[in-house]
Amino acid sequence: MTKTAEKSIFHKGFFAMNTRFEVLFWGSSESVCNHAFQQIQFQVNKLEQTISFYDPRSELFNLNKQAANGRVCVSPDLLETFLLGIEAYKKSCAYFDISKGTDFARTKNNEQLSGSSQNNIDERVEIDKNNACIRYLNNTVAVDFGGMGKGLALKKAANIIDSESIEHAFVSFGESSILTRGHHPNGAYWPFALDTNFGIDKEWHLNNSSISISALLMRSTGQQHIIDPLNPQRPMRNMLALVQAANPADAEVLSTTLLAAPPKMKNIILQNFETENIFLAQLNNN
Amino acid sequence: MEASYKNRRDFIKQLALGGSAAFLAASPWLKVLAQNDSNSKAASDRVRLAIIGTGSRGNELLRNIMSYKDEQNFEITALCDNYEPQLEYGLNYCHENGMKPNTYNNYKTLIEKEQIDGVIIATPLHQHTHITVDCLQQGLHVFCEKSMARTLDDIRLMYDTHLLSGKILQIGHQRLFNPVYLEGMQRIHNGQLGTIGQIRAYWHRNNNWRRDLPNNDLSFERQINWRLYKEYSAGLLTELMSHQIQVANWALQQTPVSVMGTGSIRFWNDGREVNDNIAVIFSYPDGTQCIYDSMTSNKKYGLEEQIMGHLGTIEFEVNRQYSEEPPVTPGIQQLINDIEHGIFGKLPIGNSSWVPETASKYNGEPIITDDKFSDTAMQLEAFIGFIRNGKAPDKITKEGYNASVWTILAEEAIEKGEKLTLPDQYKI
Repeated sequence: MTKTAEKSIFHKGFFAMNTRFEVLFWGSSESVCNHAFQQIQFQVNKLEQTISFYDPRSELFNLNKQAANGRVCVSPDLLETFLLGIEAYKKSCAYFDISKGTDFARTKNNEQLSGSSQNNIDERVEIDKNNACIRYLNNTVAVDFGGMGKGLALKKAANIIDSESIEHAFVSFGESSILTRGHHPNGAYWPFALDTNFGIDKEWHLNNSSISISALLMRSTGQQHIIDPLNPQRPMRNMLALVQAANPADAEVLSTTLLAAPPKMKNIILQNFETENIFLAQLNNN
Repeated sequence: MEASYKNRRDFIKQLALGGSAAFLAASPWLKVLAQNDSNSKAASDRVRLAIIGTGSRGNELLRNIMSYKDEQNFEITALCDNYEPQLEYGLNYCHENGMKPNTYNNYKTLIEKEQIDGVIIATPLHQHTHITVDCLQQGLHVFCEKSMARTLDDIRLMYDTHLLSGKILQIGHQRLFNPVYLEGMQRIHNGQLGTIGQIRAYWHRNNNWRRDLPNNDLSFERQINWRLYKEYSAGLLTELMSHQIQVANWALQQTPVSVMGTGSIRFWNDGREVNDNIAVIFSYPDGTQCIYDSMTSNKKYGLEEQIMGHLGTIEFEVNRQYSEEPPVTPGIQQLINDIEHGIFGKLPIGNSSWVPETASKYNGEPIITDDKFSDTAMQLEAFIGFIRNGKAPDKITKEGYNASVWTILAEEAIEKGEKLTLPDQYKI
């Protein structure tokens, strides 16, 4: 705890999902803050151990290896995440597709795409909710929650912060996913801005809210980490999408979707999400 | 977090001349490298050296010291070995580099006949003591390969002779001059890792550690494979662990209070006498434990010294530092500073990674970048500098001494199956 004249700041962090998770609380006792932090760390680590695409020890990693060969029963946590992924798929009009992990991975590595012709997720993934079992309907399927993992983690953090009655919080997950509660000790809100490297001079006033930032910058090598799942060959533009929403999981899904979907679809997709603020900007490739 | 040195000069400037007081107190031998850059090239100032023992290590030292032949004013005046092929190899290498040393098969003749300032001793371990003592008593400065000697009494004798003669005794622990270790030690001694609780170190290989005998002539067995026989060596302890216990002592700025251990010949049951599989624990006065193991039938984990503090970990061999907690993001740091100073301003935190995530593991950060310096060469460069000064910091001799006595004591602890402390007569 850092002591100030009237307020104590609690600041701690840990590594998760290949980046930094940092919390800053004020206005609550150190023991409450510590307890909340420990719960958050436990929940975020547990989530990562469940849904990591790359960690051979994660439940999802093993599911991706086995589910094309037959039904695999999964934990309640993984089933819940799958259902959230399906919901995100529907709300995004299929432009956020967890089942295209193989294509995402190949695109990141600048490899040829799988060429799967089934564009409907129901043709690729079969979920038996009653028995908590999942089967992939062809062997090109690999599920990747990379575009929503941080949002899901922040949703869990929000639940813990609220249940511990911590009134004032600023939480950063890799600086691209932000969750806030209450306000800055010296003002009526948290005055959030983009890193100065973007050259975008704009401020967002956050109270009980969340922000997700996604950016797409095409590389000369052709590598990229966001693709249009319905038309992977569609040329993409260098863009930044910032979404402010009460639900950090929604903000996370939508900031990626707004980069993946063609411009004509954006207004249609936005109708499916409850948002507080949308900011889109073109970026220079330098 | 990583430090970057453009070149050797930059490295010296930043560390030897600009290091913290705590660091320079722990590593005082480094300053000599800065002084060496301005030495005279006159023949009268030339440092004359002999190499005693031109086997694989001796010739490696020769190759390293030759890398300084254009910038350091020194000469290899004589070579000595009782094995002709190795002596010839060293001689040819000197000729290729424009030096014409005399050759000997008896070191006593060499030190009687040659006008030299210092010797580099790279013979088998059991020969270190009498050669070192004779050279020191002859008024020569000595660089002797690690480990110092085969027994505690011999180690003490070497140290005492060094003190009595007033001549330099530098032991070949090259990590003392390795930029990764030096930068890492500066961080440790400045408190960046917090309180060190444990050091874990290991050296794993998967080979029989044997050298080929000339024409398969078994009469050479003990001469060539001396590392495998107790008369000449304590095996993994003196040949490998001694380097790593030196690193532990240097990091902690202490020497152990006790050692216990165990060992066996588990895999290479080929007539060797030394263990091929050992595990040792050193305890330090402040409660720190150094846990060490070495084996020669599996190489998966290789070689490492892990310095573990409550704020972070350093792994020297792979040039990595790991934080227990992530460093504060600049934007969050600004937020904290603003709050503490009563400021309410815009927080430029929002970012997005351009690089696709490909792994889920935190892999730490390099201690330094551009690690392109030979520590073996730099320790010899330092030896030349010490000879010029006529002295070396006593701490560098003590580093070798303490590593050596605790290595031999570890052997005794394994043999006796007891937890041992250092007898008073070996404390310096």
